[in-house]
Amino acid sequence: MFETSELNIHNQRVQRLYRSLFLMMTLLLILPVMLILGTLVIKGSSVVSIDFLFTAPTDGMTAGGLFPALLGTVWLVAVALLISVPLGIAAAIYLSEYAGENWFTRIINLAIINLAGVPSIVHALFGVGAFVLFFEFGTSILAASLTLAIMTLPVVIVATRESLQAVPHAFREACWNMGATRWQTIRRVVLPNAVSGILTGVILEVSRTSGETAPIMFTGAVFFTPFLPQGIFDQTMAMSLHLFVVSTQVPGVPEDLPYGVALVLIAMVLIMNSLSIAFRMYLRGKKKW
Amino acid sequence: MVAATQHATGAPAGVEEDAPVKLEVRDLTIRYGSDTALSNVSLAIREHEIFGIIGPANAGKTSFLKTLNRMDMFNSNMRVNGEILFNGLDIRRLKNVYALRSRIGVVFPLPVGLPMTIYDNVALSPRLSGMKDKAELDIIVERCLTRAALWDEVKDRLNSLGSLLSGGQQQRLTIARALSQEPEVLMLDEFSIAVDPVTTMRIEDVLKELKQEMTIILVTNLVQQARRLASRTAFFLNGECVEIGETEDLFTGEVKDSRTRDYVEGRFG
Repeated sequence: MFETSELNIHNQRVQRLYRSLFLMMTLLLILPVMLILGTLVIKGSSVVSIDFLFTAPTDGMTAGGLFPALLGTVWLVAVALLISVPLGIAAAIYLSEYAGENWFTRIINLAIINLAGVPSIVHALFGVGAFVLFFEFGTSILAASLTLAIMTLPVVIVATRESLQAVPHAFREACWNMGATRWQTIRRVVLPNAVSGILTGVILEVSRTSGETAPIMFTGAVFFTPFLPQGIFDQTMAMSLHLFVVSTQVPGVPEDLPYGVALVLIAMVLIMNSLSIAFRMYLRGKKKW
Repeated sequence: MVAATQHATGAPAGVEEDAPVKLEVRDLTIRYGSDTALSNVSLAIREHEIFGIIGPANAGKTSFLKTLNRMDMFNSNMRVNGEILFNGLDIRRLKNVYALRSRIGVVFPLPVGLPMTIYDNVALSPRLSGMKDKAELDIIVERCLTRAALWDEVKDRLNSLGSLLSGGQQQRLTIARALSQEPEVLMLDEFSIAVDPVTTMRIEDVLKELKQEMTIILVTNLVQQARRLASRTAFFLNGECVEIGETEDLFTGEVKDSRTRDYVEGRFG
C-alpha cells in the first residue's frame, strides 16, 4: 500500500536538489556579512578603546580618537528623528485611518514610494539647495538633519502604516459603534496596539540614518572641526564622513585606524538593529489578540 | 418579577399594542454599488420589545442594522435611501451621529474583546463620554458585567486582557460593553454564532431581563431563537422584507406568504 514508485523517488530527489540550492544561496548571502565583520574585528579591534571613543583626533587626524564624530552622529540622528518621526507618524495615521480610496491617496502613496527610491546624493543636493541656501540654515546640523529626515521619512511612514493596518479592523468598528470618533478610536485602541511596530520602524531608521554619508557631506558635516557642536546651527563631524576622510583623504593615517572607525560605526548600527529585533520579539510574546 | 414568570412559561409576552414606537423605518433601500441589499423595507419597532429578524445569508439583515446607527458612513460604496426615525427623529439628517451611536449598543456575530483589560473594555464607553471618576467607573463596570452574567467569572481578574477570554466570555464582555453605554436600543447580530449552547442560553436569559429597560433588535439565523425571545419577528429574504408579524403566528403557520412557512419549517435557508 505504501510502496515507493519511480515517481516518488524522482519527486524526492528533485525536492532535495531544490532544498540544497536554496540553502546554498542563503549561505552565499551570509558570506559577505561575515567577511566584513570579521575583517573589521580583526583589523580594527586593536584600535578601539575607551580612549578612542572619547578623545578627539590629533596629529592631522592620523592619531587620537573619534569623539567629535561620534557626538556629531548622535546630534544628526537625534535631530533627524525629532523631525521625521512626528511627521512620518502623522502622515501614516492619516493614510491608514482617514484617507479614502481615491486618486489623491494613490498619488500620495506613489510619492512615498518614489521618495524612497531617490538616490541619496540627489537628496544631498536638494538639501543644499533647499535648507543650506534657500532657508539660509547654512551648513549646519539642522540642514543635514532635515535632509536625513526627508530621506528616511518613507521608512517611518511605511513601518507605521503597516503596524496600524495590522490592528484588526473589527476593533475599530467596535469602537465606532460605541459612538467614538475616529480620533478617539485611534488614540485608545489603534495606537496602543501599533506602538511596537512603530518603534521598530524608528529604530531601523536610526540605524540607517547613522550610516548615511552623501546627504550630510554638503549640508552639515565637515572633515574636521576642533569644536564640538553646541546647537543645531553648528557644523559637526560625523562618523560616516570621518570614515570616508580617514580612509581616502588624509595622508599618513595608520592602516588600522579606518578599520577602528568602521568597527565603531557598524557596532552602533548592529546594536540598534538587535535592540529592534529583541524589542519585536518581546512584544510578539505579549501579543494581545 | 415579570421576567421570571416569562422565563418559567418559556413564551415571550407580547408587547402592548399601544407601546410607543422606538424606531421606525420607511421605504428603506440599501445598495452596494449597483447591487441592492435591501429594498423598500418599512417597519416599526416598539419600546421594550424584542424584535426578531430572521432570514438566510445575504438577506440584508446586517446591512439593515448598519444603517440604523449610521455605520453606513464608513462604507463609501453603500447607498441608503428612505427614512429612519429614532424617537421620531430622522437620523439620516442627524449631524451628531456619535450621540446616536452611543444610544445604540451593538453586539457582533464574532465577539470582539478589545485588546485591553476586562475593566477597560467595559469602562471604555463611559470614558469616551468623559467620565474620569474611578469610583463611578468601578460601579458601572461591576453592574454591566453582572448584568451580562460575566461578573462571577472575571471579578478576580479584571486586569487581565479581555481579548484572551474564551469566545463565550468575550461575547458576554461585548454585551457588558454595550450595556455600559446605557443604550436605549440593543442590536444583536447573530450573537450566538461563535458561542456554545450553554452560554447562548445564559445570554438569552440576560436579554429577557434587559428588555424591561431597552428595546432589543435580535438578528438571528436560528429561527428557534427568535421564537424563544422575540415578540414580533420580520422575515428577510434576498433583500426583501417578506413578512412581519407576531412571532408565534409565524411559527404556527398563520403566515401571509408561503415562503415564510417554508423557511421557518427549515425547507430552505
